[in-house]
Amino acid sequence: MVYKYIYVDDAQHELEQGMINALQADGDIKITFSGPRNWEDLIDFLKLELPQHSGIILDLRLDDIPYDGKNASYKGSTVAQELRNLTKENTLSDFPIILFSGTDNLEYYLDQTSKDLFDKIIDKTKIEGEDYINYSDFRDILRWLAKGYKYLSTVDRDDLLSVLSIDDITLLDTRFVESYNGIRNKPIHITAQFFLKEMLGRPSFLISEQILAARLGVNVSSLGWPKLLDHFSDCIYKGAFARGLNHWWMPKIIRFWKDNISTEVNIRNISASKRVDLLKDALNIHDLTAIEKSRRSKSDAFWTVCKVRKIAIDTIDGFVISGQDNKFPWQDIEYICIDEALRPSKGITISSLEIPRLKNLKSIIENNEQRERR
Amino acid sequence: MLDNSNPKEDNLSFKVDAGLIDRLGRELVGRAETAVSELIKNAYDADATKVNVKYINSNLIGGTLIIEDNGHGMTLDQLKKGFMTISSTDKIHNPRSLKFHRSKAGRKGIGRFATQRLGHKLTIITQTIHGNEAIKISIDWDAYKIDSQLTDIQNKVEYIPKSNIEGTTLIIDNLRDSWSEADIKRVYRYISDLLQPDYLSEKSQALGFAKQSEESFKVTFKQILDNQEKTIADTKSFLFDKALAVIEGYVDKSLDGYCMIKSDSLDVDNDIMLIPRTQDDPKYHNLSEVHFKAYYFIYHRDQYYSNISKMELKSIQNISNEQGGIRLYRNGFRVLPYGEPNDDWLNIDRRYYNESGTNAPFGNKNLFGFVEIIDPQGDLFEETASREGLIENESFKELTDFLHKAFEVSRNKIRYAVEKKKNETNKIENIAKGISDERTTLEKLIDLEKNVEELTNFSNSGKEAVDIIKKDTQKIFDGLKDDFLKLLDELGMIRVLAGLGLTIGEFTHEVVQFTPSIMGDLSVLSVQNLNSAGVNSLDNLKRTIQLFISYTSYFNSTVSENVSRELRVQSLDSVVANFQKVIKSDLKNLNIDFNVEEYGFDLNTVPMHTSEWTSILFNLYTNSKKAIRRQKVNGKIKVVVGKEDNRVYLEFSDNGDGVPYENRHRVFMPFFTTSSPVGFDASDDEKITGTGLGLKIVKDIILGYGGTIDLIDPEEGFSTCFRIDLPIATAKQIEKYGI
Repeated sequence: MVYKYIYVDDAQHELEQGMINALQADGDIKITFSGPRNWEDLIDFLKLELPQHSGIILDLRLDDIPYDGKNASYKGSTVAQELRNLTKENTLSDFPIILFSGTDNLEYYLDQTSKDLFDKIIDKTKIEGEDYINYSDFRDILRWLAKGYKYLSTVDRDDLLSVLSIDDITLLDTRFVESYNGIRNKPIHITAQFFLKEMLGRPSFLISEQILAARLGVNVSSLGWPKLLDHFSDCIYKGAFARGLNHWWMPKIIRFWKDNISTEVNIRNISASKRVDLLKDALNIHDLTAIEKSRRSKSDAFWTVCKVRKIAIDTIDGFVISGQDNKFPWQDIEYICIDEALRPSKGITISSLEIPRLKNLKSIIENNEQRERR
Repeated sequence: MLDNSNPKEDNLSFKVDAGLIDRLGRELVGRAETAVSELIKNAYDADATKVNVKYINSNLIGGTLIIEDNGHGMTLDQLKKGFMTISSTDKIHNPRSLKFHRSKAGRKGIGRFATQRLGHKLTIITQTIHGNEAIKISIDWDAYKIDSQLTDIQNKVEYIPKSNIEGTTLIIDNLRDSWSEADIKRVYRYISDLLQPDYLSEKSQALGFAKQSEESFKVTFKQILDNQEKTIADTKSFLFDKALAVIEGYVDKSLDGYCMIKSDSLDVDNDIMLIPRTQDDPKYHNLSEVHFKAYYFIYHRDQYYSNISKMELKSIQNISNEQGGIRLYRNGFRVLPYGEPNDDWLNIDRRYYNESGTNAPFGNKNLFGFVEIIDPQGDLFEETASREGLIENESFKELTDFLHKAFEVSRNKIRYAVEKKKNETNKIENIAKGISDERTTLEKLIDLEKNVEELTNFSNSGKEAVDIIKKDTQKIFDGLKDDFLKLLDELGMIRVLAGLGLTIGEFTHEVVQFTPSIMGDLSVLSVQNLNSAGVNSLDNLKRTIQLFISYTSYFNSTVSENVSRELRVQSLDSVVANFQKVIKSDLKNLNIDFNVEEYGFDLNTVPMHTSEWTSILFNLYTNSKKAIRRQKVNGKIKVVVGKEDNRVYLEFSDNGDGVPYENRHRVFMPFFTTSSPVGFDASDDEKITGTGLGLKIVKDIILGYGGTIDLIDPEEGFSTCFRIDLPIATAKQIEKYGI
């Protein structure tokens, strides 16, 4: 299948060529490029072209070079807003919009409502860098988003079970269903955002492979890990915006545990090593290594993953990240690990309720770990 | 026939052009203050005891100045031979004044020119004690124009009734200058060496004893504007109020003796001390009321005083030769020879002055004192027949005894107070004596200002003192010039580096635009089927580009933060972690072992510019690399961050060739560098970084935030350790500036 994307950018020196080459590298993605034009021309162009494309990639700053002698006076977010309006008016069908920008200080330029216009934001200056996605991932994202939007446009959105590709409604939190029902008649991109941000974007009833590993207590580098995952294959999420082995139905995992591993022992309360032992016995897989807790943690009954450092932690060892007071009820609380809290590396702040605890911990450590000059 | 040309002369004589007056006036008498002080000195030379100087409506040009004295005045003959004869020989014939034998203070023959300098018109009214009339002469200086004969110009003489017994009044009209209060006060200072203290106590004034019996010299300056009179300056307020200490004492009606010391700057308690005659019998039975007061000065130590300048103190020292000592007055009249130069009737010099190693010299020359005995009926004291002193009866013995004891007690108290003061001012004193580069540029400027002030105030008295100050000023100037040249040098270099920095900022900003494009094409190549050479090259290209990008993106973010000039609280552990990331490949390349140790949490500095830490760390890193290279070892660098006593610290250590002990402060000075002059084959690092300004800039940054940087003893295994201390961020700062 060929995925066609429009790409609007004001790069100088034809720098966009490198980016386009990378996006088209696999052959199944085709980019239609446009430099900035004046507003009317651009909108007309997009109205014409978008129906033939799966989605659009926008840069944020579009006013670096004049085109036809006129500087663009609008931003990528302005274009995105206009396109969403057009969709709402049914002038255009719905499609993913990706922000691909190198602007320093994105926070300064974009407020929350502007960010909500985009299905994905990718930093130009970091791509292919350490700790960031590369172009291959970018291509995957383009395909994934295109597929997801296509799926939503064809499926019966009134039927949540179809949308999520499950048959058992009891898997879902009723409040989730309620929330979904509130938006199901809205444009697709609203649903898309809802799923991407509030269901798949953070641990909920759907969890990532990393969290799954933490909850099973298994180190993913264990040789037996793929085999283990096989056993859980029914638990893979296959609904809208499903992406390979990326998401798993937690309720289904629990059920599996109860059915196949142990009815008495609750997976939540036992140590990783205990979990691994049980898994090994029950499923007859031998090459499974338990995750070991970090030095400062107390518990190895891991349940989540540090949002920054990605290591497995028990919630008792984690520090609640600030700003989650308005999360949805089906979403899990997110944490950072002790080491990250002690020496923040990404500027993530902890909840105010956790501050005294952190302070206490800091003084204990400072007292115990004093410097000795040699 | 004889021709009409001038008849032949057989002798010629010199004529004088009248314009000479103006020229001489300007050349001999420069400044208006000098002119006035000269006229007052003339009054002094004429044995005047009082001079009234009045400035009438002189705030603008064209006012009037009147100088009125009660000296001996001039007869017509004296007027002709003295005032009216230019370059008269009068002062040569009479170097001392007639009545009081004063050494003449005025400069030879300047008086007339002084009046010409001051105003366009002069009127002299003078009368002598024996004359029947006063002589009045009016001189219009404007009449003395060039191209007229000096001797041809006539000045009107009148004879009028005497207004005083004796004395001269100078009325100078149409003043050429305007005179402010400050100007008038300045004149006063010029004649300070003539001034004598106000001896008489309120008591004798109250008893109505004569005041004019001795040869004082008092000058009063008054300013009259629109008929409102105002006294500008007089003797007492000028001179003795500035004494280091004032010693006062008395014997009262109940015949008890007391003494006390007052000082503005010394720490003496103002208690009234009892001076007992003997332990068993404190009273002075053979005395009646005695009162004494002495002003005490220590010379060459203006820093002990609360408000005196070097020049003023020098002036006082100059007059102490003639006027120092303790004088005795009986019933308002001076009793000689007590207190004359070379008289030591209280054995002050003999007992105290020659004590070695004293901080508080206590001789006659340090004291301006008077003793008043009030003995109206003459019961207690008797003058000797020759009228040279008093008979040394019981009263006199008790008097000297009381005074001895009072001065002894005072002297001890003063000595301790001076000792204390000396210790306080020792540091300042040493600096004042010391070499000029110990003072900061600001201090030097302040010194200079003081010197210039003093110089402009005292251009006349004490040539010696003026020379000292001139030399000192020149030294300060030289020091300042040096400072400024060094600063300009440094500025020049810093400007170059700053310009470079800005260019780099723009460059990195541009480079960042290229990154996604370059990476894009690279990623395409990665999935192509290349031969092994291609694969190799590609891998290498990826690696080098990653390096390139990591350096430039680091600088890009700090440049953009700097552009916004935002101060942020810096978390030292993050700062170091970020830095480590950037230099990772460089470290690998140079095979340097880099370790970070973190102690404690919330290592937050006071708000700083983020880019400044970039400068600091890069600087230290570059220096370490060079040191390691010179030492030819496997490099080791360790960074330790922590906090101590409300301050955060960062220690940067390496195992390079170390810093010699004698250079441990010099390394922070501008242009100090151990980098050898950059040669053609010097490493690129050295070419750019061998400026010698690196550590100076680092130090300036840190000092600017209230921090310190020093070389400290390194830990085991390291040879150099820089330690930076900075104040820790307060909660308020964290809230306001963010991390």
